[in-house]
Amino acid sequence: MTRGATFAVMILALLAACGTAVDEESGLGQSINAIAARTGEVQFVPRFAVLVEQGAPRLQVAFVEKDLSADILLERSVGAFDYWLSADGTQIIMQDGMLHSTRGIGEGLLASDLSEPLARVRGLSPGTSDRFHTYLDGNDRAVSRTYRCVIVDRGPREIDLFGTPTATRLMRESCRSLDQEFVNLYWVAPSSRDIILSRQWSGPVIGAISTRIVPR
Amino acid sequence: MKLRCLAVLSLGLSLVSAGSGSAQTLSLYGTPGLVDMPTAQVLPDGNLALTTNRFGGIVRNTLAFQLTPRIYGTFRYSINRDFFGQAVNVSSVNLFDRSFDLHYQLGFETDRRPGFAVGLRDFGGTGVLSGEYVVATKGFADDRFRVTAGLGWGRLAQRGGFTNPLGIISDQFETRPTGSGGGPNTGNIDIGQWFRGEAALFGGIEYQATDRLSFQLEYSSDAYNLEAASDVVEISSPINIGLNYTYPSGSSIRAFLVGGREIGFQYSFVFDPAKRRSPGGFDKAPEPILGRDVASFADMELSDRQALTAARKVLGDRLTAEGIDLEGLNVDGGRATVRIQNNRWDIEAQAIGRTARAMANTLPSNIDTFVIIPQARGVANSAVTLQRADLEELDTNYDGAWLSLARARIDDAPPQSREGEVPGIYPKFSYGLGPYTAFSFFDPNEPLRYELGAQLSVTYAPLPGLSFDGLFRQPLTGNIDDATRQSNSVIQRVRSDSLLYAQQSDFEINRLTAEYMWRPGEDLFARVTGGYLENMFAGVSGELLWYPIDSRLAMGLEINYAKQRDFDMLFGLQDYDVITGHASAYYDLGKGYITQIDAGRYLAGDWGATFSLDREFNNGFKVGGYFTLTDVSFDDFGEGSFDKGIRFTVPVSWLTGIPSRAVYSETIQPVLRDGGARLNVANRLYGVTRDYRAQNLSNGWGRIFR
Repeated sequence: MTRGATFAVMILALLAACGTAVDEESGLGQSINAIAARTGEVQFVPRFAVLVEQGAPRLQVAFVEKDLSADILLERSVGAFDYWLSADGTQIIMQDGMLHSTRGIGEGLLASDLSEPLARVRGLSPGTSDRFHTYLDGNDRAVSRTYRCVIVDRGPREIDLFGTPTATRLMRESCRSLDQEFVNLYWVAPSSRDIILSRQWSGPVIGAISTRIVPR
Repeated sequence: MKLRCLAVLSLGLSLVSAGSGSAQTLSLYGTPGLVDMPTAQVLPDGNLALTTNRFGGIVRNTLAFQLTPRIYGTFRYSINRDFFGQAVNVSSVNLFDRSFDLHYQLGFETDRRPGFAVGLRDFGGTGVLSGEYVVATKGFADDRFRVTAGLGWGRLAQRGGFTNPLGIISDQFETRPTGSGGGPNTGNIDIGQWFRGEAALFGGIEYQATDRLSFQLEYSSDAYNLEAASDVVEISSPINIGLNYTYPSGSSIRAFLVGGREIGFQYSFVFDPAKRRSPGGFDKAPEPILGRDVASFADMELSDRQALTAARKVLGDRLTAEGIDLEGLNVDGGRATVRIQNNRWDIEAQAIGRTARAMANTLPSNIDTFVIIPQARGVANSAVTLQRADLEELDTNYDGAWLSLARARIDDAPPQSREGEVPGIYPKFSYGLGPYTAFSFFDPNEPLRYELGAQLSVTYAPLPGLSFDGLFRQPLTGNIDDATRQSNSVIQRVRSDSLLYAQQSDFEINRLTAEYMWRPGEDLFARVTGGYLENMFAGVSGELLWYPIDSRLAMGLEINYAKQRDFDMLFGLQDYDVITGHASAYYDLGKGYITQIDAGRYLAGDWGATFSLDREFNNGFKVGGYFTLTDVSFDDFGEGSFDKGIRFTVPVSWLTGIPSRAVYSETIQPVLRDGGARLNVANRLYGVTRDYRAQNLSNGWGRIFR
């Protein structure tokens, strides 16, 4: 190797170290292990193994833009909050069926204030609302974001829930901030007001996450 | 409503700050520019740019860092092939040139006026690239066209030079004194040359064809006089042209034509250290905080020894799963105190949060207050007090992290105590076996030398604060010891004989020490270390650090007796010994800027001071530089004139998203000489303690509920 090229290689090695850093899908790769785990290809984290033994409730989730899906198990319910755990130890926290926060999937959604959209979506009550997300940015700072949303009732929809036709109403929430916009969809059971099926935006890294309740 | 307004305001500000003025195109100098000429543009604040290019017989590799929104600095390593031809009696026919630049943005571009900047190129190197400039840049037509015009001195006035307009201030500006020019004073800062001698105009235009593709056309005032005379490049025209293609990842490739004859290519990569590769990380999720009525010992009293022991076991197991050692647990009424050592989390506040969760899910329901004392090497550092009810309430709160910080207390740790110590935790023994890499830079015969091998580290800690540490290496392959350049230092050789250490050693004892750390009083830390302290010196080292818990300022005193080790890096010692030590002041300027001054006596017996400035990002990524001036004259110091360097630290978690306390650190010194050389004793107290003091704990609090 020539001398000049040697130094260039050093620079490029540094670049490679930066440029080929674990890509943002690694967390998704880990999460998708949940699927493999069910077939015994990888080990569960111990907390997940306990939930499997207990027959904990399941939620089917998919990272829409990554075309990945997995079943996650309910680890704990505290009031309106459900903590869903994946086989590899990542977590999605839902508040009455609405995505509240994530842990370990690469997205830095620390927490959300969903009081207004929850009231409108579960109340089947169209209108405008604000939602607040707090993200962990790449510099470990908690950064708050505000979204103004318009919620519309798209009318009744019958969905196929694992072979069972289920009556729902489709609520559409369109949100924007100064530099971001997204659309969330909720299929709500008119009687219980539970969110049966959804497609919800988690943040700029992972994008939309779909959820589907798995009947016990 | 208040939250809403704040969020909108902060978002708006972030959009503005990310707006115009940020350059996409890096010149052949690796800084914002056209082809060879600079522009009045900067990189986004905090960004790092790595550039390598080649044209004719010239290779330039540049690291540029946007230190503040207005200031960027660069370090460059250039190679001019066959620069000296065959007729000159030098060790190499090639010119190897290390250079530093500095650019200050006087004003940012607005709708009405251009951006203005002033800069120094190669102000501390051989002087081959030395030049100064003032420059203005203005965008037109939605910034698709950017026009630049500037005035250059030195190298930037080699073509079209005219009488220096600064001559109206003083006649002295009209003559440029001869620089150090690669002689023995290389590295001396040639202040007397700046903006002197003839001046010349340069300018150009950049056309941004698409978001990614741009073209540059410039009139260059740099005639490449020296390089053309040496046939390193051919120059027949003042016009340079280039094209640049930028990828969303931050990589850019460009092709260019310099002087009408030389076609070259460039690759650059720009990234923001303030952005982890994954902002949220891939760490395993924390356990949900259970209600206190279902905690493991919810209904029990921990007043009896048996129950307390059982609670320690359960809590210890929970913490072990989180990569945290439980070292002690005390319960006093409604208050539980734990002492922990964090082995996994690079952000200390996250370890505090995980510990608090484990306590909430374990301890009896009547315990309301948690006190968490992080310890490093068995020495209690700070005491973080959290209310259990706050944890329960804020875990899912939209603003939970900051509310939690507001409600927490961070105090200095109480006096060291072993009360409540987890039985059997001492003595501790740990070891690590793995590969290592070492680099040697800038040997003209091989600019990058390396060594790969196996490394064993061993620690035995019989008591808190007391440890016996060993670090051993077995080089397996590399070319560091193939070098032939021997030291020509005229002062005591304390570092410049590094080649002899590489050549005459095989199995290396890099460190073999006994160390005791303790707290002599409130806000005070102390350390005594004895043994084989580092690769080249053995001896005894003592240090005292005063570091108030909530202070930006810390001050330290270190005294060492050091004796030079044999070149075989085993147990023998040479004759040279020295008393060396420093008084140090550390100050956190805020916004991530940390300064440090160390004044005292260095290894060669020289007296002086080291001045350091680091920019530390909140995620642990650090970029910094330092220089040392001592009573060793520039002549006696030799090449480089005085010791200086740049350094960076990259947390492994920054790259992987997986929590880890491992970091990759490197210091790059243009020249390794003997003046201003400091003892490399391990575990200097400021570095060991800083992460646990209030400032850094608070900075990481965004991860308290992660």
